[in-house]
Amino acid sequence: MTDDPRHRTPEAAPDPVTVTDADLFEGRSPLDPEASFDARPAPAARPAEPRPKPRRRLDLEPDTVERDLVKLVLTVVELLRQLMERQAVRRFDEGDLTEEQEERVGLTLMLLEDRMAELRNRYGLRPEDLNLDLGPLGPLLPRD
Amino acid sequence: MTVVERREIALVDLLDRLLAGGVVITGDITLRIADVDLVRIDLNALISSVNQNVPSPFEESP
Repeated sequence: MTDDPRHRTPEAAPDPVTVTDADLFEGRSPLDPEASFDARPAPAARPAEPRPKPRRRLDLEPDTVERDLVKLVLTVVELLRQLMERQAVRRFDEGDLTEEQEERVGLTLMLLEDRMAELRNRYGLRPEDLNLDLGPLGPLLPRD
Repeated sequence: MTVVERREIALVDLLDRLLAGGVVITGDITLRIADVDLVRIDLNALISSVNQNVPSPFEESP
């Protein structure tokens, strides 16, 4: 039998010990001042450390409301465009389209991409501005 | 942490895979209050890419 309070039998239990807030905060145990809570099998609750959480929001200001609304709409359009692009690639892989159809689909998607870049430039938006961080769901569009 | 766990999947890629597999959503819900039926929702949805198993409902354009 050691003197370590963790290994004492119930009969040898010490008098009730009060744990002060200061002990909790410091991670000290009044039973064994040398041991920190880390050494115990079930560590007591430590004071939660406030984690700085990056938050994003859609800011609508009177002077930029047009640009911000365009940004919102273009985000949705960009999502659909990229989804259509991926679906088209799948369709090409399946090989049930004629060469002319593939040509037309490819050309349309390419023109759509150019048009999106043009609209982005008109409102001074970068491609990464049309992405949204969905938190646990990950980003809306792939990050480059 | 392995490479696979760390890899970030964008929502657009998730949707792409979902469409490639295809989804069927069915449900029949009736909302009633005090024995009075108020709203009926009869859902029968198919969401999928067009492929051999799920053909387009329209005629092939000329």
